Amino acid sequence: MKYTFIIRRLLSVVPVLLIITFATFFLMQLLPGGPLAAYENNPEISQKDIERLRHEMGLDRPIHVQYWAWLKNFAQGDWGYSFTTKRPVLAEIWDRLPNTLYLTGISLIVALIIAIPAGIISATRQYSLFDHITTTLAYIGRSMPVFYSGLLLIIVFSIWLRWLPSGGMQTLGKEFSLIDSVRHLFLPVLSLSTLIAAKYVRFLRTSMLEVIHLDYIRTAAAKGLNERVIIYKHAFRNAAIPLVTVVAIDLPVLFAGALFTETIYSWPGMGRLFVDAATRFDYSVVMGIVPAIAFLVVVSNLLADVVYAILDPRITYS
Amino acid sequence: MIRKGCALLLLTLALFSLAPAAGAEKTLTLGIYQEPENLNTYIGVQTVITYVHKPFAEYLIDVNEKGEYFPVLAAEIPTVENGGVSKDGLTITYKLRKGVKWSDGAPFTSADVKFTWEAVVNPKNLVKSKSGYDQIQSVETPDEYTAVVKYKEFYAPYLTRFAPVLPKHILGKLENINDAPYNRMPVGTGPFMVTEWASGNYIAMAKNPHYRNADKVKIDKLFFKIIPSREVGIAQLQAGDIDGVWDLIEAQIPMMENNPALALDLSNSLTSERLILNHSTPVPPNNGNPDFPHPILGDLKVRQAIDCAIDRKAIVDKLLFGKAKPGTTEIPHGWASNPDIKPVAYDPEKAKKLLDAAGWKAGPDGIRQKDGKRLRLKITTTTGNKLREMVQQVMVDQMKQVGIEFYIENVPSSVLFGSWANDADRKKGRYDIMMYTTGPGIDPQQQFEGYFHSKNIPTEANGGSGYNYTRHRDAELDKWLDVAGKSTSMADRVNAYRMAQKRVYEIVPHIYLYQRLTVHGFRSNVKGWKSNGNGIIDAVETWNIADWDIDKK
Repeated sequence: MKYTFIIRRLLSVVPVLLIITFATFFLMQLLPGGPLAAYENNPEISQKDIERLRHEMGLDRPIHVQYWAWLKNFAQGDWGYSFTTKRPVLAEIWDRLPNTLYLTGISLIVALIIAIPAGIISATRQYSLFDHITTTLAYIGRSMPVFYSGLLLIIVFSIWLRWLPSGGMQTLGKEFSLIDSVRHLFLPVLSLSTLIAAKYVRFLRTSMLEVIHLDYIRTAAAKGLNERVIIYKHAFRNAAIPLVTVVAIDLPVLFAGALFTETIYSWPGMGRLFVDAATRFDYSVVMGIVPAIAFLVVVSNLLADVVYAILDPRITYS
Repeated sequence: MIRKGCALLLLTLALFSLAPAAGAEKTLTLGIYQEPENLNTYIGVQTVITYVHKPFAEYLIDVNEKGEYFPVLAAEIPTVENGGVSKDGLTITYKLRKGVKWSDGAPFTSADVKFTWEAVVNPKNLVKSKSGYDQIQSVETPDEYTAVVKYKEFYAPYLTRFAPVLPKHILGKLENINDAPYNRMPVGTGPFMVTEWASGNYIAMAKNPHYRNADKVKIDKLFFKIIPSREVGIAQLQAGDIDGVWDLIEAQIPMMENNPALALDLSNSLTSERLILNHSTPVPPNNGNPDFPHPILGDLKVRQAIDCAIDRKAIVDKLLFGKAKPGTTEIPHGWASNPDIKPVAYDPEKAKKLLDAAGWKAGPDGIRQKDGKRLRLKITTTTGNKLREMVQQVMVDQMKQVGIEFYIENVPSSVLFGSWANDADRKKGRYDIMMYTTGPGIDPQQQFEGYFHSKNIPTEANGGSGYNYTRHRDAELDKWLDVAGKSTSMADRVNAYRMAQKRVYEIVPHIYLYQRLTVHGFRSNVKGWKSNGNGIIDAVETWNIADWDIDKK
């Protein structure tokens, strides 16, 4: 593989980021309202005050001037200050990012632990009872939105049975304990990992089915190779290639946060930060998160390509 | 294998459910569905800031559940009689409470009062409003416990300023207070102090050891837990994860009312849901110009007809579960209210007579007409508010019965409440009827004058300031509002507000539908809270949190 390929792909990030930030910035300006919208209906705040704040926050400048000023600062590593909290945008993001990585990271691992064996077994024993159950569950998992399944889980486990807390990361007012932390993690991870696992199971099952009917697998079986070796060493390695690609492309979600899961379970993550910022017209926070995620999307796509080439020697990029 | 897995799962679940036993400390957790921007009410604009800042921040003067002022950091309420207010009303002398300490142990003095004024008028600080403070000429501090505030011109709501007082020893050294650490980790004089703010997660407070009545405060630790929505808040309250939830809506009352583990705190606020009737033509190019009257609503008889064609009791009983009070006038309760004004009686026959007298005759489909024009009016409110949408539909039906056609066209709140610069219909007068909630603070002058004085009609000339969106001009109303704004005698002000409200009742620029309820939910083991529909900034239930207690679960 040539390094020029990686460098070229990384350079292609620049125009992508420019287009995305430009579009985001202008789309936000098209929305009615603005960072000072909340001030408009407050009799305590006079029009004079609003005009003064608009000027002091630089919102009275033409849009292209505001964008250029933002871009210049951003390129120099200055992400600006939140319009609402008046704190640095990076501080806002750093406060939330670990919480999101904690939740999405564990969920992804759990999802893979569920999905890989389930996908393999349901492909090797196609149309068995296990396969039928897995396929049905995967369908339900894929089609049931978290804002529905999550509420069901809360009603059953938190309100009826009172076994698990309904939200948050820890019991407030108690010392940190691992059990408490896991109790709070349980339902969100359950919701999120079933959603992810359902998708991966479908992928893996399909690609396994494709592979195990290929000639080289039959040859391996004909020469009397152990079934385990055939499935896990020969078949799975090839069947896993599309899955690796999908997982790699999903990686930015780890950082962007799972909005619905975070909302249902009061998880203080990136997804909620983004939505709160968008609804409050906090342009600078939105403009901090969007390019960061866009960058990660491009990088993880590149990563997927690179891993693909490593797993499958037939692929070369030039 | 699956069975084993299930058993293991159940076992772990059972293990987790053995929650650790509660300690001797009393902890209270309140759910808030918005994260405060910061905890400095001079900068942040949300109501939730007031809710969260009450436990640590104190005002010179606050307001109780009866709508009466009471001194907090001031030792007494300055009046003309006790010498606290000069004859011309320009000099206010505050005697301060002695022995008050900030939560870091530093003494509270008149220098803090002076600094608060300096901070608000400092051009480097991004404060949301300088109202009143920009009228102050100087703040003198003859001794540690006396602050003399001199106004350039009389400012009627002077009792509502210095809410809260800022600590000079913390903020005085800074160039500006915009991103001061104080805004997230404030220092106050109240019963609690902020100990931690976990972004997006919770704000933690502990009992303030320097509070003057610290031994009477029963709660040891206080948490404001940030939750994504009211619905999640109710679920967590039902599950017992939180002890109270802030700011619910009327429609959520029935789902909580019959649960013995919960208690509802309902109070009538000073705000009213109302119809705002445009007196000027909504049609460009003369939209919003009061010299061009509205073809239908310009006629007082039509406005009165709409007023008495609305069955407020039906709306309150059916849509608000009988909990709200029918709307009357601008100031529904408190010292400036006019108790003589009763809600307009539902009287469709009277409405029909008024419309007949105004020349609107029934057309073939029952909708009235005049000179070939239908009696058809657009009613606009914010989208996505189910209660408002239902009230609109009920009113469409009630209007039909007297021959008026209402049609609904709703817009997002950011559009409805847009600015003059954004060319919002409200500011520019391009509407027939708007429906939303607003209301006065405990001192009504700013809101009352803003919405009802003819000088406050938004125009190009004044940059769209003022809230006289109805664009009515009434000399008598102007006169009473001027008296209320200029008089130093409380008795004269009370009388002026009463007369002004009587005038509003007569000329019907607004039609008051119902008084808004503030709804808060508690677990029933939370004691000591007291409903308060009044507040200097916003009415919040945490106003007396020093008296709260929580029983063992």
